[in-house]
This record gives sequence, structure tokens and C-alpha cells, in this order.
Amino acid sequence: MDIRSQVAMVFHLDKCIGCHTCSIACKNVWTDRKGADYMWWNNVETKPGTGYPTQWENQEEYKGGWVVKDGKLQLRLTSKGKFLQKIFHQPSLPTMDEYYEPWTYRYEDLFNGPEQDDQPTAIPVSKVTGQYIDIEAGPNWDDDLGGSPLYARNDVNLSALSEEQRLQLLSIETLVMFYLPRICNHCANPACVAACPSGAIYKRGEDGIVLINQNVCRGWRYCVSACPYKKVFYNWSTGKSEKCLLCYPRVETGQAPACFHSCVGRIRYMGVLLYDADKIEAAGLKPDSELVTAHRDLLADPNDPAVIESARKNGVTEQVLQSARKSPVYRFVKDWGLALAPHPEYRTFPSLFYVPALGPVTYSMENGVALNPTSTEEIFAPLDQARLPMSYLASLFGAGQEAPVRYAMKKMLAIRTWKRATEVGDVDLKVALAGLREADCDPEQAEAIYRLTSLCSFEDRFVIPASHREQAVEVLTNPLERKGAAGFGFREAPQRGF
Amino acid sequence: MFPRITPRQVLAWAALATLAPMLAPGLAAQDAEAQFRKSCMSCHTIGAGRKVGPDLKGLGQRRPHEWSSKFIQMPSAQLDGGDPTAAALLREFNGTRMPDLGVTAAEAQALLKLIDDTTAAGRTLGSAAIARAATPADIRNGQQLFMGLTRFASGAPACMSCHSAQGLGGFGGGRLGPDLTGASGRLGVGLVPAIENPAFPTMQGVFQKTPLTADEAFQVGSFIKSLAAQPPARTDMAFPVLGIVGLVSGMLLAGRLGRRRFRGLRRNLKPRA
Repeated sequence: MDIRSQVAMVFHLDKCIGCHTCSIACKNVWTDRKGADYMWWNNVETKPGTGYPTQWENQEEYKGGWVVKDGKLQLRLTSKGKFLQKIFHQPSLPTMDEYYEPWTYRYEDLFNGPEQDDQPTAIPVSKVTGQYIDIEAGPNWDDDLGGSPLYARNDVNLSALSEEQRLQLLSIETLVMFYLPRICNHCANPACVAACPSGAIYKRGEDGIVLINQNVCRGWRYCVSACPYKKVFYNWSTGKSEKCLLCYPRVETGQAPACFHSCVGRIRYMGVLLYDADKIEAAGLKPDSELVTAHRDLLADPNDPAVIESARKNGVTEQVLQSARKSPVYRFVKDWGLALAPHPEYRTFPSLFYVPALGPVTYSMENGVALNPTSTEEIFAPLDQARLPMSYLASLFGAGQEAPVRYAMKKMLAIRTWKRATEVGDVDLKVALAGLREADCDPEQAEAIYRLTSLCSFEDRFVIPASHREQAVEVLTNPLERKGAAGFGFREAPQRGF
Repeated sequence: MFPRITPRQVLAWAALATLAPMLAPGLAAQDAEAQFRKSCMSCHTIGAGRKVGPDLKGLGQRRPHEWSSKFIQMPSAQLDGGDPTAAALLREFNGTRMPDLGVTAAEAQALLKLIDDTTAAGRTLGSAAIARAATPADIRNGQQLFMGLTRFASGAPACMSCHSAQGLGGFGGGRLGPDLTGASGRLGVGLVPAIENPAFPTMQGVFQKTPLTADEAFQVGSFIKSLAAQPPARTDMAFPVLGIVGLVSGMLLAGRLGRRRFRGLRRNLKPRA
């Protein structure tokens, strides 16, 4: 047993309104720089859709993540023997076209334009060439099903659906969508770390945040290809790769990351998870059908004395252990089984989990026309009448397995019905309770889930332990000496070359 | 602190200053010998026999210094000016003209003095040309020396490090100096002396301290002469053709190996039902 701590996350998709506030908060704090203008460490995608970069889930082309080959866990992209062959021309990189050509507007024309009959306009100009461009793509080009005949129809997850289901999904009466905010998953088995030829990427021991050392990065861009979620970006100005750093300067001071803090729908939860690093490889070798269970088995019970002992031996502090016991993430993922990792079949074991959206799932139809629901039964129709087929969610969150998705959805549906029975009273309590039991839940748990979902305070959502940087410093230098000597120091901006 | 200057030191300096002019003639003689080695010795010896030009031993007795001085300074004027002695010498040495070396009047006087002094002292300067015909063994040894397969006795660098010539194998030789394939045509009888006592500034820098022996120079010269007798190398078309074929097939191979590379997704998206 090798217990380590990980700052983990849950995004409750039922609450996401797709406002992109998180993306803007992140952009303003971190990526509003030359060379980083196309980076969206946090982005919000509309599903069904192709996302950003276009079709990032298409691993046939992008070759991200891990595969089991000859009984061993290997990167899909390359192997230790082969990577040198392609090091100067790495063939699986997204092009600018899969991201977008960054642009700005020529605002000065508004002030300097000559006097004429028409109003002056600020034309879009490329940030690459400086010339006028006809904008063809953007970071959320398919937002709210924009361009859906092209983008939504090419969602990779739709391959799991039958032809009939696909047609139904895209016809106007039964159109459905939900939002998927994405940041770096800070995986337990990160493919980007494994692929880096320079050894520049590392997973921090104290909180599991995956970072790129800008002094060591040589810009080979293997991480860009190896990350199946395409959350590492290459900065063309500094010649180094960059990624979400989970706002670690904020996390270290007990604050939630910028995207978490600014979230309007309060969909984001952050807490500590303890996981057993010894089990990772065996879990990665499991077949697709057992991956969700294997991933949950990695996560250790913070109340188990054996776990606590092993964690202490690894230097996990008491505050972190205490915080792990109060972790909202542990409750959503392990206790309740509601939150699921995105695409577990990539075998990186993300530390970000999603509670699938129940929102527009159910629906009543007659002769192809939507009915105005008149009773609770009509609102909460069985899952199989959901507008969004379970197989789609299974492809996104269950490695193709419907069971874990169904379990989560059924429980949420049962809780809604239960709350309807207790608060509104138009459902029979006995029926609601039976439904609750059937969904592997009880009134007590239903209440807890309801509270953490709907009535959660700031402290409920973000349980971030003190990180004790002063103790981390002790490893390297005498803290009293450092106290007298450390200041802002000489800041060296990352740049090309050695 | 500055070192103290003692009266004894002052005296030593004064003595040195007085003696210096007396040493000057000796220095001048050394200069003349250096110039002789540099400019004359490729073709002439003093007391070692004829080479490309005549042995200069006893020149003072044979001709007046005035004539010799003029000839040394500007041989072309004497040779073309119808001077009977010059014409006779030209005939005697098979029409090999002495080049104008830009020697000044003072230098000519110094050289004549050197010739007289050396004659009087009974010394010899330079070595006579080897007169025998080159054997196949000479040519083979010459090639070995040229290519550096055998080292020069003095440890001088092999010819091949700077020069190329026909028949050195696929890679040829260096490109710093000229190709020596046709050198025997250009230098004629001066080839071997030019190897032994090169008059070229670049070669002098290299060979001054590590001169070739007469035998080595003869062997290398024989090798270079033998090249002139061989038919010129054919321009080989195989190499450029092979190059083009190689390039095309290399590009095809690279294209084939990279056929599964990422070719862009967004542009290739097609609406699907």
C-alpha cells in the first residue's frame, strides 16, 4: 500500500449553465500572454459537439492516452524504443486548424477611420499574420449546438449510438445538449508525464498537481500528443509547453482555483482524495468493463487505519488527512457513486469527476410533438425515455458501460422524486421511498446529496487543506535562513533555447 | 616597487648598444641565406651541381657582379633584350626562363656576396636534382607519401591534406590547395625542386621546419608526373543519377512511412446523418 494525497475535483453538470465565466477567469489570470492566446486551460464544451481542439476524443487520430498491449500498459502514441525516430517530426500533433487561428480586432480603426457615410468597423485580424482573416473557427465554435450539422454530428461519442438514435438526437423536436467544462484532470497515471522526453513534467508529491518545469521543457511536444484530453498546449512564443496548474498558488493558500471560485452555477467541488499508487498499474490493465470500478478501488478510505498509517509514512500531514475525511469529492465519487471520470478508457485515472447531467433527460412525446408535462410522473419519466441516450453518456463517462451511468442517473432521479414527495407532496411517499431503495439510496443519503448539491456553502464545496509550504522548504534549506534571504528573487521569463 | 637600476646594468646596456651595429653584417648574411633558401634554392645550388638552373658556385669569377645583379633583379629584361650571355644560358637550360622574382638591388648585392662567401668558404648550399628516370617503385612510393600512407621523414603533413589529384580514390584529397593532376605540365622541370624547396608562401609556412628530403621530393614528383601520362578521368554520370533516384525513392519511402500521420481533422469533417 502506497497512499498518496491528491487534490481532486467534481463538476456537477446538472448545475452548469454554460456561461464560460470559468474560461474567462482562467484566461485573464494565466493565458492572456503572447503565444498563449489560443490556450484554454479551462474551456466549456457543448455536448454533443466536437469540443476543443476539434474532436479531441478521436484517439485514432490524436493517439492520446494508454492502451493495453501484450499485457502491458503502454502509451498509444509511441514506445521507449520508437520515440527517438520521430522526435524531430512528431506526427500526431493537432494543427492550428484543430485549435483556431488566434485573432484580434483592429480597434484603432474606430478612432482613426476617415470621415465617411458609414460607421467605421473594427475588422478581425489574425494574430499570426497580422492580416485580415475570415474567422473559421474558435475555441467554442460549436457552442450551444452552433454549426451542429457539422460539429454535433461529428461528436466521437455518437459512434456508440445506432443510426436511428443519432437521427432522433439531431432532429429539432428531440434536440438535446448539455455543457462539459474541462480543465486538466491532474491524472493519477498521467500520459503527459510518461511521454515527456525531457522529464520536464512532474506530479507534485504533496497534492498531485501535474506541472511543467519551464526551465527543463525543451518543446518536444510529446505531452501535447500523449494527453488524451488535449489539455497541454505549446506556447509558440517561448517554445515551451504549458498546461493548467490548478492555480496552485491559490490552492497553497487555501483558496479555490480561479475557475472554481468564479463559477456562477457553483458546479465545482474540490477536496482531497487518498489513492493507492501501488494499485495503479493493475487497475490500468483491467478490461474496459471493469475500469470504473478499478478506478474507484484506487481511492482509499480516509477513515481506514491502515490507509492512515501508510499515508503518514508517505509524509501526508494530519491536516490533509483531516481534510480527506471531509472531502466532498470522496462523497460524490465513493460514498454515493454519482460522479464519474471522463473517458476512463484512456486509462489515465483522472482526478476530475463529473456528475452527469440529468436536466433535459426525460421527456414525453406524442406523435412527434412534445407534451407539456402535467404530472410528476410525466416530468420524471423512466430513464429509457431520456432524450439523451444512456449509451451516449456511457461512451463519455463509462468506457462504454451503461451500468455506472445508469446507477448515478437513477439515484439522482429517485432523489428528485423523493424531494418532490417530501416538499411538494404530489408523489406518494411510499412510491418515492421504494424508488429510493431501488436506486440504492435511503432518505438520509438523499438528504445529504440534496444538501451538497443544492444548498452547499463555499466551505462545503471547497475543502482545501493547508499546504505547509514552510515545511516543504525545510527539505531544501533551513527555513530561518530562507526567511531572511527570500524575496521575489530574479524572475526569469521562459524563452526559447537552452 | 620598481626594481632598482644598478650602475652595472647601465654599463651592460651601453656595451650592448655599441656592439649592435657590429653584429649587423652577420645578421645581413643570415637574411641573404634565408632569402636564397626561399627564392633561389628551388632551381639553384651553390656547389652541389646543376638543378633547373646553373650551379652558382664561382659566379663571381665567371661573370661581372654588375651583370649578375641586373639579371637577378629582372631576368626578363636580359632574356628579351638580346643579351648574348642570357641567350646562351637559355639555350643551355632547354628554354627554361628564370622568373622575375622582384629582388631589389640591395638584396641582389647581398645574394651575390653570399654566393662569393660560400664559394670562398668551400661550403655548399642546396642539393642537386636527382637525374635518374623514375621507376614504378618511385611512383608507388610517391603515391604512398602523397596520401600519407607513409610518413615523411621530417613528420611533415601529407600532400593529400591540402591537395587533390587524380587516382586518390573516391573521396579525393583536400581542397585547400590546387589540384595537382596537371602540375607537371605547369611547373615542368621545376616540379621536384618546387616540392623540395617550395617557393609558395603557404607551403613555406608548413614546410619550413619540416622540409622533405631530396628522395621524397623526387618520389612525390614522379607520382605527380605519372598522372599527366594517364588519360583524364571520365565524368561519371552514375553519381548524379544515383543521387536523383535516391532522393525520389527516399521521399517516397518517407511518405509511405508517414502515411498514418495526423492530417488535420476539422477541415476533413463531413456532415453525417
